[in-house]
Amino acid sequence: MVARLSRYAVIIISIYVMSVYMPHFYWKAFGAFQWGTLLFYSPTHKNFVYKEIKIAHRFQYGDETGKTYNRKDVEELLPFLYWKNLDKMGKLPITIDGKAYDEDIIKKSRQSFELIPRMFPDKHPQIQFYPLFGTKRDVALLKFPKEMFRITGNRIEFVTASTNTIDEHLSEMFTNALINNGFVFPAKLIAGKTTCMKPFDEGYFIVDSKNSVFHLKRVDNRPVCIKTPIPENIGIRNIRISENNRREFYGTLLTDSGKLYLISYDNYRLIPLPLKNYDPDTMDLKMLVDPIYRTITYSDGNTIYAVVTDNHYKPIAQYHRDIPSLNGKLVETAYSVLFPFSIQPEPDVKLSRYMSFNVVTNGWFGLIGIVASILLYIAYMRIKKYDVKANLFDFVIILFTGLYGLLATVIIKPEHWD
Amino acid sequence: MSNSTFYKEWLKIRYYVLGAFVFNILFFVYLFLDIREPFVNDPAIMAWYSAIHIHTLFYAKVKYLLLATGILISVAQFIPEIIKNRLRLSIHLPARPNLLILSYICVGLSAVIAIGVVDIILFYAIITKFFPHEVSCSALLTALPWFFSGLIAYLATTQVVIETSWKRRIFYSIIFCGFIGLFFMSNEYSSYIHVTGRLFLVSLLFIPAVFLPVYRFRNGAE
Repeated sequence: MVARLSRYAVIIISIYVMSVYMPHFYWKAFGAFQWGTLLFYSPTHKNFVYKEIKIAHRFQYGDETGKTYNRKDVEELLPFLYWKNLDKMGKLPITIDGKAYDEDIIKKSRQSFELIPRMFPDKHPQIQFYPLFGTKRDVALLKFPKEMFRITGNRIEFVTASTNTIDEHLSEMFTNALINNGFVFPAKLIAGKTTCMKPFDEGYFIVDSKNSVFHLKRVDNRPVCIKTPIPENIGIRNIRISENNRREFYGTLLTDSGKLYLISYDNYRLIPLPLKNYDPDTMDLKMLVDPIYRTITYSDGNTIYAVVTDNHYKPIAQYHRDIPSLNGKLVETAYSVLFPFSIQPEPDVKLSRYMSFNVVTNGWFGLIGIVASILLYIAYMRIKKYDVKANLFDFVIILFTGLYGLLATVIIKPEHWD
Repeated sequence: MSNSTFYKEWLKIRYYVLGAFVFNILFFVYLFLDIREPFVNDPAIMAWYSAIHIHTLFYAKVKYLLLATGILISVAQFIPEIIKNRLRLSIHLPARPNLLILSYICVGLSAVIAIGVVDIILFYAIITKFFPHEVSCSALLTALPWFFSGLIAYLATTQVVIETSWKRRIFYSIIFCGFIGLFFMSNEYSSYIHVTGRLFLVSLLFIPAVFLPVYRFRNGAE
C-alpha cells in the first residue's frame, strides 16, 4: 500500500512539473512572437493609422479605411511622432489646418504615459518606503534625500539610511503638517514617482484612512501639504504620478469601478477619460499628447481600442482593431489537444509581478487528447500484461490530466508485485 | 526507529554536516561584506533605493546555498550505502524498511533544517543591520522558497540515489530539477508570497515519494 501511494506521489509531482514546462517548451518550439498592433491618429488625414505584423519580421502600415502605406508615407501621416525625421528632410514646420508647427512647438507639447496592470499596488510587490525629494527654490537639480519615509498607524517616519535610525525632527515636522491639514492615519495609498530622473518633483499623493487625498511635498526641507478636493467617495484604486514640464496634469487616478481620470493642475480637478471597454486588470493603456490631440490606446492582446480627443478631452473619433495572431491554427489546436491544461508559474509580465502557479484550461479540444491518452494506456497495459483493475486509479489520473498523466503513469509504471 | 540508528547515521554524516555548516557560516561572512560594500563606497540611500525601488536582489548570492547543502548531505549519507551495498543489508534486517529509511531521512533532514535555521537567522540579522525592517521581512519572504528548496533537494537526491534503475534515475533527475526550478523562477522580491503555501503542500509529496525506490530496491527491481 505504501509503495502504491509512493508511486502516485511521484506521478503527481511529475504531472505538476510537466504541466509547467511542457506547454512552455511547446510555445518555445512552435509559437510565434506576438506583436501588439499600434494605433495612432493622423492629424493630417484625420483618421487612425495602424502599425502591425501579420507576417513575422514584416511591419505593415495602413489606416482605418483599408489603405496601406509604406514607412515613409506613415512618417508624413504622423508628423508629431516622426518630427525628427521630417526635420532632417527639411519638412518642418508643417502646416495643419492653417497653423504652422515647428520643432519647438512640437517638443513642448508632447507628453506620453503608460498604465499597465502590473503597475497597480495589488499587482506587484512594493516595499512601502519612499524617498521624498527635496525641492529647493534656488536649485534646479533634484538631489536624492538622505532618508526615506514610511507611514505607520499614527505618523510619518523618516529613517536616515546611513544610520538606519529614525530622524525624529523631520518625522515630527511632517507628521504635524499632515495632521494640521486633517490627515487621518494610517495611509491607504502612497503614490509618487520615486526617481530623480524627472524635470521636477511633485512629491506624493497620499490617500488617508478616510479616503481624502493629500498632496505632500518637501520644499526647502519643509513640508508642503495640501488637502485636495478630490471626492472621498470616488473609490480610489490607484494614483500614478508623472511629472512633465507641460504641467497640465499630475498623473492619473483609477477608481475601483475602472474609470480613469487625469488629475489636473487646475486645483486637482479630475478630468474623465472617455474610454469604452477599458479593463484596467487586463489592458495596457498608452496616452500620447501632441499639439492638437490626445490619443489614448488600450489593448488586451486580442483587440486594440483607440480614442482621440481634443485638448479638452472631448472625444473626436474612436476605432478598434483585432490584433492578428501569428500562430497558425494547427499550432493552436494541437496545443489544446496535447495539453488539456497548463500551470502558469507567472501571469503575463504586464499583468502582475507575483508568481501565481494558476491552472489554465485549454478548451474542449483537450478532451480529444484525454480520450487518446486513455486508449493508449489501455493498449500499453494489455501489451505489458498489467492488471487493469489493480491500477484503475491510473485511469482516473489520465482522465484529468491527459498526456501528462499518460507519460507519468507509463514511465513510473505499475509494479508487477503490487 | 531506535536511537542507535539515529546515532549511526549521525556518525556517518557528522563531518559533512560540520563542513557544510562551516561553509554556510563563511558564506554569510562573505554576504555581510558584500552587502556592506555599497554602504562604504556610496551614499547609503543609493543602496536602499536600489533594493527598494529598483528591486535589485542584493542578497541573490544566497539562492543556491541551502540547495547545495541539501544535495551534499544526501550524497554523503546515501552514496556510500549504495556503493558498498550496505542499504541492501539494512533493508533486509528484521525491521520495517520504510521506518528504517524514514529514520535515516530524519537524521539527514534534521541536519539540513538545523543549518537552514542558522542561515535564516544570519540572513535576517545581516540585512536588518543595514536596512529597515520592511526590507529584512521582504528579503526573508523572498529567500524562503530558496531555503526551502534545500529540503526538497535533500529528499529528491535521496530518491535518485536509492533508485536502482538508471532510466528512472534520469527521469527523476529531470522532474526533480524541474520542480526545484519552480522555486527560482522570479527575480522579483516577495513575488512568491501568494504561492509559498501551495508549493509547500505539493512538496510534501516528496516524503511518501521516497519510499518507492526503497520498495523497488527491496524487491530487486532493475
